[in-house]
Amino acid sequence: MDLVFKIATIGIIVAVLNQLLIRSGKEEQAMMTTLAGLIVVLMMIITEISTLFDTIKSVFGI
Amino acid sequence: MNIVAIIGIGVVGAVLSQLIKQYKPEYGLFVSLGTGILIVGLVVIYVSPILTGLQEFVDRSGMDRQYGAILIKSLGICYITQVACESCSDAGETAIASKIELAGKISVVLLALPLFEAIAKIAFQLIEG
Repeated sequence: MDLVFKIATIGIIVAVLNQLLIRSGKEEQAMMTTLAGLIVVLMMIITEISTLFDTIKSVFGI
Repeated sequence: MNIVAIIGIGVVGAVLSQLIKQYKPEYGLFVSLGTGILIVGLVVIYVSPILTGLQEFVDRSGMDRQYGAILIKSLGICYITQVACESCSDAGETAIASKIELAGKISVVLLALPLFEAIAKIAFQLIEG
């Protein structure tokens, strides 16, 4: 369950950071932080997906 | 099968993904994908006793053990492809979702090929007999 909350917090933090950076005139860094947040969340999701598919494979004997 | 927990996770995930979608649309997709994976993981854990019961039922009915295995495998394939299709179409990529569905159908047909041969063999024996 904490996975969902983790992703939500990362999203909110990146959004706030983005607004902060854009207001202070640093658009490139804003894009950088969005990209970094995206990659972090993607890595978390990929590890979850791989564990899910391993369990399904073991349960269904595929 | 704690259905209340699953409903709670689903509703909280939906609300969170809508909340985040206003600020960052791509994170909304991640949140819904994460909730989906969480729920599917929970359900898979509850499915395994059903599968062992199914396998015993197939053995007791005297059929070849291989047919039960094919049955369970095709169930697993359909399950996974359905998860992938739903998350793709949820993200708006209906084209990719239909491609995954096509691949799932083909793999199930491929899996069930020996069954068709067995049926054909029986049919020929009946005709010649």
